[in-house]
Amino acid sequence: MNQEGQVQQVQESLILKKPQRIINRYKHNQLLYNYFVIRDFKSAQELIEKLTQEHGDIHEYANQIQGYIFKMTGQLSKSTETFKKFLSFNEQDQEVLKTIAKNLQLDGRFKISLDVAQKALNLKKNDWEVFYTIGNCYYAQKDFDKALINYKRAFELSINETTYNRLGKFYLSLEKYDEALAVYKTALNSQPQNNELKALLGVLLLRMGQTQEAKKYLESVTATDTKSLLGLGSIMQDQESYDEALVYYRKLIAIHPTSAQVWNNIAMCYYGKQEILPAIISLKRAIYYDPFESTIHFNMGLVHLYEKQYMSAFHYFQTAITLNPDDSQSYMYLGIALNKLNDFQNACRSFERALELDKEKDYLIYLNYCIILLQRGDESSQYAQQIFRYFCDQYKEQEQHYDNRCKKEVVQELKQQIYKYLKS
Amino acid sequence: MGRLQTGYARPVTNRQEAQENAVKTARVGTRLGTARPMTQGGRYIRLGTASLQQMGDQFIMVDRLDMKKMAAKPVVSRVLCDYLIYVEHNPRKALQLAAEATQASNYSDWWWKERLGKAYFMLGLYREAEKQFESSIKMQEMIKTQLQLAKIYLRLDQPTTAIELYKRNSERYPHEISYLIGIARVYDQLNQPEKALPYYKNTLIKDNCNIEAVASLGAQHFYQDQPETALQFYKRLLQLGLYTAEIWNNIGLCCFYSGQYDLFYSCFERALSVADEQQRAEIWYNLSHIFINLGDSGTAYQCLKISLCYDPHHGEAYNNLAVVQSKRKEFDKAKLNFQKAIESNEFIYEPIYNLSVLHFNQQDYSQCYSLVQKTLKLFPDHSDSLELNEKVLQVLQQI
Repeated sequence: MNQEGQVQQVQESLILKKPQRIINRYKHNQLLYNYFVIRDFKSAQELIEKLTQEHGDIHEYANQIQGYIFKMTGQLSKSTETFKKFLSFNEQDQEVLKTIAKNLQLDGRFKISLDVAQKALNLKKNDWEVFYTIGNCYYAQKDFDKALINYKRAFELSINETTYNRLGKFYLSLEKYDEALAVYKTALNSQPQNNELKALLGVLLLRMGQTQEAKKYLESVTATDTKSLLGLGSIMQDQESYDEALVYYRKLIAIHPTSAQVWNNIAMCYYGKQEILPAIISLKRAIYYDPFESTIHFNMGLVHLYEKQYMSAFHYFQTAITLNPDDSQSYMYLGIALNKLNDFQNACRSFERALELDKEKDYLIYLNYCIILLQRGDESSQYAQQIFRYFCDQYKEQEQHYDNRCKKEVVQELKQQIYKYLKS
Repeated sequence: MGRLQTGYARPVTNRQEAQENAVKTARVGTRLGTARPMTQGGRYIRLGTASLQQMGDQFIMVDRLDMKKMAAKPVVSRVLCDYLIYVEHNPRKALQLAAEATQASNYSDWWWKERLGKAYFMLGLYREAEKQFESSIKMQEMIKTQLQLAKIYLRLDQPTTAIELYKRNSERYPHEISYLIGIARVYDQLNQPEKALPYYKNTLIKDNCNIEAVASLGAQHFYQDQPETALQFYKRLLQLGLYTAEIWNNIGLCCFYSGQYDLFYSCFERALSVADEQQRAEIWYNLSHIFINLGDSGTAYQCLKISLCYDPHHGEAYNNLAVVQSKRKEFDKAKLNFQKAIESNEFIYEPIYNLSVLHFNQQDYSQCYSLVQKTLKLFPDHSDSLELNEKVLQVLQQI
């Protein structure tokens, strides 16, 4: 009895000693943070609900996390609302303003976003994220000059994945390859171990025709990166080492089984190896995945032309033309197919159209046209001579350029033969 | 690639799911066109001959029958049992009668046990039915009973057991094609058509007029990129005297994909001339594929519109229409049609994915995110969706 009384006394005294209850709003913050970073949104949301019940709507951290969760689950307008509530605690909070601006931009409300971003900029001058957001807004409104200025500023302030990717892509979309190259190279200097960057750089160099340098970058990247696989494959294909190219493409097709482009490239490798059946099957699959791509139909036409199935070739070239009416090459091959089908007049019309559309003055069109005219005999030899002269002019200019469509010896030999024939 | 209409609908008995299907088909519209209009369900009706149906609604007052008395009469009871099962579709009463009759025969009549099993089967009591069939087979081996037993295994979702049963029996009765066809059907349903192929071929060796085998072989060759071979099979179907929209449609598709452009138009014309409305919707849908393949998106657009006139709930057609529209940069119309596609067929993932790509390109990320999640629910391994999901998350998760 006595002891119990003592204990009670002690307890009472303890209670009395305790200071007045402090509302510790922050004791759950760590737990909430943990839930958030491991993406356990369900538990986080439960905790937030509990916290709002305990403390009312003014729990700062809970609100912040709630806003982020809304954003990450795609409920952007709700997220914006949450952050706006947050702003009422402290109007001068630059971070919050920044987040709101970003949210608005993602939600497609660019004008309001710009206003908010401006406010954020007044509070802190040098924040790359704000510039980046402003740039995005201008870009979405198709005001490219202003967008470029802001992207550049963001890139100068901080070189990171977001900024260099954005600026690089921006230059690429404007076809300013040299500028894009400079951006990627500066970025690579600051992050020399970044594989993704190397792949981007490699693909860009490949597009600019600097194959050797591109290969160097692409090969240093691990073999699972899709961009580098495609790049290396196409380099190998250009160098006519088709088996190696196929190895790369096989790896790629395992990752992207529905990519029409990859199937198309595979087909052209087989075509290069003169294996027609697998080429046709691969092309058929490519058409199945993307029937709107004119290149695939064009290639299908080429393969059929090689197989001497001129009617099918005609159909595929026709399809390629309906999909892409400005392609002179399709018209040239259409002419060849038509000629083989004994429709000389339409073949000529097709070649004329090809010459009309051809901006780069491709010598092959002249050569093929000349051959067809000569095959016809005397009635068109006058015109053939004229075309042959054009061909000689164009060929002289373009002789030095790299061209893997046909071997130089073949062109030379044909040139000699036609020359002799016309003389006699 | 245009979809082949299956030239053959699998026989479906009146199972419980049929009702569900009926509701679904009323909404979505049947996709399958049958080359053989009579399903097994139809056979039940056919046995109730015209003479019986003329007698008015009720031929025998079933409720007033004393099953015990009836069971004592060996001949009448059998006829009555068949009547109850095939005409009245009253498995409960048939079960009563069969049970009494089995008792009366001292559990030694295989025929009654088989009927007992059938009645249980119709009532959905598969385990009981299995027992009855097994004991019936022990007494007297009948091919029909074996087939029914296999059907039970299929209904119990044990395809391997069913296949084993079929295989065991087809060795013992090598001239019975039902077993071969049965195995092939199960493999087809298990989505292993390459395994089904030899069984269809064997069936054709034994019975070279088997329509199901010819049609299935045709379809399989078509989907294996061998339209020329498929064409041979469909020609054979024509020889067998079938003249339906599906066959002409399939022949047209085969002609197109084997590059015989001069022939396919007339095939489709014939198909359209004998088709009903639902079939027309499908045929115009296939034609749209052909025009897309020919690069003529204008005509393809028209074809899809016609297809939708005949079947306003054709989700695939809506999807393709929207794709053609988005190629023409009519994005608002495309969005609307993708939405319609999603509404009219909730099991196709293509329109949802397409719509999410459209939203992503228009920088509407919250819509895009929720749509990608939907796609991944329907098709968790879709590589393009996975990639898009990563892209969207990258945008949304920047803090």
